[in-house]
Amino acid sequence: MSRLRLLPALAAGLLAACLAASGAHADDVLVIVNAKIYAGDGKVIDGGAVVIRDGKISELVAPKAEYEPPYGATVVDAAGRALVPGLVVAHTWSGMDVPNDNAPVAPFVSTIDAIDPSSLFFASQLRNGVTTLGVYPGHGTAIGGKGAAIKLRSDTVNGMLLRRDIGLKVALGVVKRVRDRGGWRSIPTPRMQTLATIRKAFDDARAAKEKRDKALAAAKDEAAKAKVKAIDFKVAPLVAAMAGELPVVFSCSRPGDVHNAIELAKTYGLKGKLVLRETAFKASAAAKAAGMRVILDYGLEHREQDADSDRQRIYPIASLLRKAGHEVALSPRANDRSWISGHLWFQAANAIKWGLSAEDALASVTRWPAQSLGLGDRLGSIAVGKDADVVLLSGEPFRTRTFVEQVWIDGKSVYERRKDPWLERLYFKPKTAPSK
Amino acid sequence: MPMPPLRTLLLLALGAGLAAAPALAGERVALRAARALTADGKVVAPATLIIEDGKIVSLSDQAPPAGMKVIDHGQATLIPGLVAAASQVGVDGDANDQSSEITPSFKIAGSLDRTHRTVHQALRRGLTTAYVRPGIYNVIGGQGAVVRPGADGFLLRADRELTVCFGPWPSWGNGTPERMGSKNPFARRPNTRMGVVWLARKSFFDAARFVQQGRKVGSLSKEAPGPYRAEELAALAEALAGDRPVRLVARSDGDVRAALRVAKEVGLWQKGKQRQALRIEGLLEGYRGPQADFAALDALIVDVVDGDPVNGPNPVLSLPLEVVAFQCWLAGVHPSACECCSLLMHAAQLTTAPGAGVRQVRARYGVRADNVRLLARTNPRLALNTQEAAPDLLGAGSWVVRHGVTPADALAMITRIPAELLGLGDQIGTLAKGKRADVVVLSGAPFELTTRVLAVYSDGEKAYDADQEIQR
Repeated sequence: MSRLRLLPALAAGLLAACLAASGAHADDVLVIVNAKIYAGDGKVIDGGAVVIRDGKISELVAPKAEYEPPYGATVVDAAGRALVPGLVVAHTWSGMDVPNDNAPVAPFVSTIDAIDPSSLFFASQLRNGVTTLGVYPGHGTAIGGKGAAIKLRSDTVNGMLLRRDIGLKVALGVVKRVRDRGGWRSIPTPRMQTLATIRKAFDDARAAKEKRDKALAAAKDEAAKAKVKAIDFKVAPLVAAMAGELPVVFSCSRPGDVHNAIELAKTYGLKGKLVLRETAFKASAAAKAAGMRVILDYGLEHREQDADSDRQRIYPIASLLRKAGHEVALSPRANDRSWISGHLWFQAANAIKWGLSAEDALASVTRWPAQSLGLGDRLGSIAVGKDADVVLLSGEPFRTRTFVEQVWIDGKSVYERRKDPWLERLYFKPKTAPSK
Repeated sequence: MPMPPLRTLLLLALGAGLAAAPALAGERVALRAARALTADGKVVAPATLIIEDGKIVSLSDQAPPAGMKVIDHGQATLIPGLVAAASQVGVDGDANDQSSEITPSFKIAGSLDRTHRTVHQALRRGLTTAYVRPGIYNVIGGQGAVVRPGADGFLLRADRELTVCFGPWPSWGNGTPERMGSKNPFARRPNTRMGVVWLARKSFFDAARFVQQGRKVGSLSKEAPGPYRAEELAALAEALAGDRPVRLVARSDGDVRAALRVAKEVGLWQKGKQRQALRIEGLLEGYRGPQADFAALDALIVDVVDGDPVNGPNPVLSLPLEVVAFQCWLAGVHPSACECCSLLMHAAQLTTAPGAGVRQVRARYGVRADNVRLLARTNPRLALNTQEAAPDLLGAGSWVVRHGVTPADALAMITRIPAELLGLGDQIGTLAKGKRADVVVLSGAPFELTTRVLAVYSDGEKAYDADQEIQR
């Protein structure tokens, strides 16, 4: 490592040491008392306390229990307001400059190289209570690359990174956006072509794997084995996916795409998840039968006009998926800061409007997306042993007048509404008291 | 040709079936729900609303008398039918006539079609009465109309109000003959904001001279743009005389101030005669506008635009061509498939890709989240609007409630106040005895994001039922 690269690392280390020294007295204990805890796993504890030690939730105190916070602990009085788990986005392609590779098959690229920590998307998501996101390539590439799970706790990618290579993105209804006369134009790629491209890539990877296995079997001793060429890094992620080590996230926009995804998963032994866009939700039964988890894209209602009667039909997608037995994860609309669809809490409120129960709606933005990311053991609910990612709201969750008051990630406060420079400077002085 | 009696009978039977089992004359029906919000400050819980002949007979918390037909909406909330102060409900085709920028004698009532998709959309969003005005791509677009999306009659009245627009829209797409070719119908004036202001001012001064000359066109210009026919000049003269309401459409602060300047110059604004029927619509930046002038106006109609100035990073929300495309997007139609948008984009030499116009025509606003709350302090006669063909007023209400307006005030802004503004305060706008039985049945409290419209009654008849179109 050159000296130049070492310097910032050293500075960061020093800074971290200073920070640790200043806050380390009560073993970094944070206690949030008098909160209405929506644990995200169905439990609601009104007036309870959460004890956070070393970035993890170490204790949940029942209401009215005799509890004395340890000497020197930071105590936050929630004043009866709601405390929910940090919201989790199971799939997004926002927060990157260019989310799609130019080549149709690019399994070897990773979004960690493209994530822009200073992206306003992340700031906006944090302001709306999101703490963890699964950032994947877009759906403009047949095999788009590898996604990463990040937490909004740092201004560097390394600091944000929670887990890399959480899944391989495969888009079945590929829509390429190209620049055209100063604007953008969408070109759909024929599905026949997309499927052929994907199959060929997996077939080639399988052939490469078999070739190597054969060579390994033929090798007489360790020295000969060591000489057998490793699998090309450009193909390796596909081999890992076929071995079940790398989950595959299929982006589907038609019901047929879901059937194709199931077929591909069966043929190549893939562990698959589905991102359902547009009308793909209509194949929810098939997805359930195949045991695939689903992530619903931002559209929560689908409308169709009956050609004969001219009558409209509205499909409340989230509740239909729930009825089909899915643990559906909701997503914010990509690159959209409008409050209509850009935020998970609004998506959840909208899902309730269309018939999802309030409990399921909370799970669909916390526990289920966490499980979808494969991080269900660490994230998604307020439970002992889990990461201390919690959000203090100004009122009940999913209400019109409820704002995010404060966000903690790994027990560290990362957002406070009353200190939010944008809100202070541009709009109004936010009240710190709960809005009734 | 004499019609066979059998066919006549069949048609009669069919007609009776289509009328959705109307309540018989004199028959009373009771709507029951967990509560009713009357929009004039009262909350009745539980609520029994008794309807006879399409009118409200009473609203009370007592159980309905025995034997009366009861429609029970369980845990639902009743609110008055919503009233849109600006909309394009039922306008078939373009809402702007492109023959001239000044078409004060044109009436939007001629463009209405009650089977248009926006009528159903309006009902789904809870609108039972809507004011339809001409579009904003003419300087003086013409006269509006009041429609009833849920009623057989649909057109309640052809209105007299004149719409006068300021800002970039009336000149949008216009250009010089050198650039566009002399045969292009859009090779004309105005093509700037100042041209729009000039044309508005000229039109009213022409109308004043027209009156001075004894209602003869005389020496006035007989060429477009500008009012050049006697009927057009007469319509404008009526506005000047105070016989015809005028709506100024202006969105940015600069446009609002220009509009008020013109109104004062030409005599639409008379100091001694305050609260004349001079309204202003738009006011995206109203919080920094002339507050004293707003207080003196008849009413404010404030656009609540979709976008999140609080959560968004930029204080300036740019609304470029999407202001046009917006209506189409929300209605689920791509701008290229929409007559008005494609025409406009063609005229402005833009592609139909969303956002394509951003660099070419840009209107920027400093949008503030609490705009409506601040404006309501200056003039409480304030109605909400959303720039959509069939405005989502409950959504607009959610937005302003999130940013500081009380739910009770927000409810008045989408029912009682717009009803008064249309001169229909005695007929609609609240749940009061003797008024039309226009009722929206909500699944919960209004303005909660988890609430949806379950049913809509118009004149006591069920005009929309969500259960019929939601897939279970």
